[in-house]
Amino acid sequence: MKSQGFDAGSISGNVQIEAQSYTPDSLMGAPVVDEKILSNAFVNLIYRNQGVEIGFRYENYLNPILGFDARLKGQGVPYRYITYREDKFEITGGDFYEQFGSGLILRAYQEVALGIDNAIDGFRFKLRPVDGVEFTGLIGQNRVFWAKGEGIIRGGNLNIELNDLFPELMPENYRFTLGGSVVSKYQPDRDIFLKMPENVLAYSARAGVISNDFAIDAEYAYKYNDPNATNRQKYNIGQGLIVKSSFYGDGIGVALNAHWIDNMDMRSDRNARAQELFLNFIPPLTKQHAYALTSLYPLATQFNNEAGIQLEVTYQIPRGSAIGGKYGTMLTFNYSDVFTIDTNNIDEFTYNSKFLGIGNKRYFRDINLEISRKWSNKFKTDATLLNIIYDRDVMENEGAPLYGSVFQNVIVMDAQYMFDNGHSLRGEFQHSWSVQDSAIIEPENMNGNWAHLLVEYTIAPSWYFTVYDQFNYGNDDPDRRIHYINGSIAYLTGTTRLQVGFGKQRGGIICVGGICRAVPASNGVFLSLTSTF
Amino acid sequence: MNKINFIFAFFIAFAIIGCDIVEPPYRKGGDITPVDTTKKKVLLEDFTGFRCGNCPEATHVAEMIANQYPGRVIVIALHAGPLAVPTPIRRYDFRTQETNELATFYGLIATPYGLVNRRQYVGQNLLAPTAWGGYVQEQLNVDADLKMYLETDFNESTREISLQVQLEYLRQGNVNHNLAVYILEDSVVQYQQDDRQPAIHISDYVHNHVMRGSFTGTWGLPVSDVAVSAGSKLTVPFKYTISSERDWRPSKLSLVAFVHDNTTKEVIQVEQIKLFKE
Repeated sequence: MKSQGFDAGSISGNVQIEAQSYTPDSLMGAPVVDEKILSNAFVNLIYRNQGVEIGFRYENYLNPILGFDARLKGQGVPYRYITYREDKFEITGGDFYEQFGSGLILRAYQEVALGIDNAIDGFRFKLRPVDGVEFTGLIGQNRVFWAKGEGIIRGGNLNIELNDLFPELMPENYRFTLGGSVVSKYQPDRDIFLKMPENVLAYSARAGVISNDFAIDAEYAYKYNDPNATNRQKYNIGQGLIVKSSFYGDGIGVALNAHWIDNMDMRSDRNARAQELFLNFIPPLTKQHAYALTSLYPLATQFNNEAGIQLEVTYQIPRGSAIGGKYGTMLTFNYSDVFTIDTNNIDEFTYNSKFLGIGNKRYFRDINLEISRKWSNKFKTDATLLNIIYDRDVMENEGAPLYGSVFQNVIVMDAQYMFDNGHSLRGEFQHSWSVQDSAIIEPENMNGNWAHLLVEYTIAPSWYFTVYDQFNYGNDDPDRRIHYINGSIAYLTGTTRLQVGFGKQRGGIICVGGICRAVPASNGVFLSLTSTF
Repeated sequence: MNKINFIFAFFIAFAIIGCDIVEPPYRKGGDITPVDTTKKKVLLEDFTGFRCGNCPEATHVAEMIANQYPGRVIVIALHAGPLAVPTPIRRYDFRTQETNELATFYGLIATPYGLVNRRQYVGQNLLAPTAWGGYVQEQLNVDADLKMYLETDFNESTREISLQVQLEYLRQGNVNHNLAVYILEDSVVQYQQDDRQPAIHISDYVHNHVMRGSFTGTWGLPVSDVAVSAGSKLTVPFKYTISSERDWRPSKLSLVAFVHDNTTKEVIQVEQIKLFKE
């Protein structure tokens, strides 16, 4: 297919539909759903030809699955763009995602699992005038459900790869990078009581070095006065520092990350709250736990007030050693510790904050150890031990004293056996002990001890049969000691995955990358279909 | 390298233009705004819940706005959403069929949020408390399309409320105008979580302008099946008997009547009257 010297180009995309039926259950906390069935679906389509890329996404929420914002209700094409690319130059008109540096002052992103999409609708250009230098400029507005936020975002970003820019001056074994960003948002001042800055500026600077056995990078950000709904209209400046480092040796890897953030919840609308209109993103200093009971009490970054550190050490016990066994054993140790920063109020509008000062209140601590061992070609096991301190008031009630802190210990045993015919059997046993340091006044569907048993049978490469029972046998309220029994069948073929399940799912908090949403319990059938093409 | 210098210059220029620094005092010296009766009154609806710790602060914001424009802003507390659901310990249910219908219609998933004349601003109906004041002020500057006059009477022995709503159209009205009448109660003493306090559980919190019910259902009744011409006056009478099952105290009740466009749901005019003259 040729026309005017162009070839036909290529088409790619992906599609997803998730649906859930709801049977109310007042004891479990599964609410009445008038529609009985709720569903989220989208299809992405990208057409590429030479330097041109055209893409759009159709979305359909009729009506949004519980836990997603009800304002997503509807259908349409909220995302569409045209990009033109050359070696040294790129322009995009329409919707785009973007991240400056570590995302401390700008990250436009999408998280399908949470219903978050703060894509910028506007104009962006990227310029690469010489090797090793990339400049990005953009202007636009964030998506908020089916509309655009009021704030206008202007941003500029510079990345410099020193080794490419000055190849003759740089040592061979080290790669140095420098970068800087500015972001300014404009929103008219309509406040009838307070003077609002209509233009709010933030800037950041960063530097990094990478070699064969270590990598370090750091970013500092500064934001001018930005009174908004999330910081209770404080006129303080904002500051943030993120440091990431990793070291590699023989069979050992160490990652050490830390951040200190003060008043850095940035939105393109000063009235935005919850998960609306984020301008930036700060990843949580925690391991992303995958097991059901290890993620009961997840950390969400407190963008306006947090100082934390995370250390992760992975060590491969050498193969053939007495402890390592024939196939080797992998140890992963993780330690996260997150505190308030050191502040005190001056008045209604300002507070004192000591840069890098650490407060005396611990939000969250997570110490965990994972031991993975392959015993033979057919048998492998995974054991996890976890100890968590979780300040429920900070994580779930903006710090006001409602719940106190939760202290949790978890043990997980996961074993998988592969049969000769491509079948395999996997079993999980998990147990969680948890206590809360304040009285539980209201009966609730999640506290005390849990046991979890899961069995999964796989017929490679296509079929997965899973059944589990999550039992909150230690709930404070005897009536709420509920078995959440759930079964599902998944079928994979090529790039298509279809899953159908049935049963009860506990309510709780689901986090992806440190952003969380509360999900009510549900009881019913769920269906999920994903495919890429 | 000139290109790089150019880029740095761009950054510096950007930084200079893109920033406003506000110096204290941060408060605007807002005198109480004089009343202009040729303009609209404004309905400010505050979605709230007794387990919502941030809601008392939002209620305070609504009251500050109402005080700023005396007699021009009518506030209703709509108890709805997940934090208005009674619990095994705290069983008092403030929710009504109307508040639940409004919450569903506007996609409420959390509180506090508010509606200002039920209009959309920047694509959103649900507004954060920090945004209420500006939009209320904007609406207060819109010319009134109609005036409303309310008269009420209460028969204590039969518990029957009579209400006369008189509409005076200043401009031609649309066919799709609906008139709704809501019942509010003040000074309801019940539990409220208040996260501003050192001890957040307030057992004797005073709940004001609580939505209790309606004469007309959530969306009201059609005003007229023909377009109302400018200058015409209509009188709509209502009778409503308070059921003996209700714990409402008549001396604390008031009635809010409003006309809205039944397509956009936007409030065109609103008026409030107390059941008992003070």
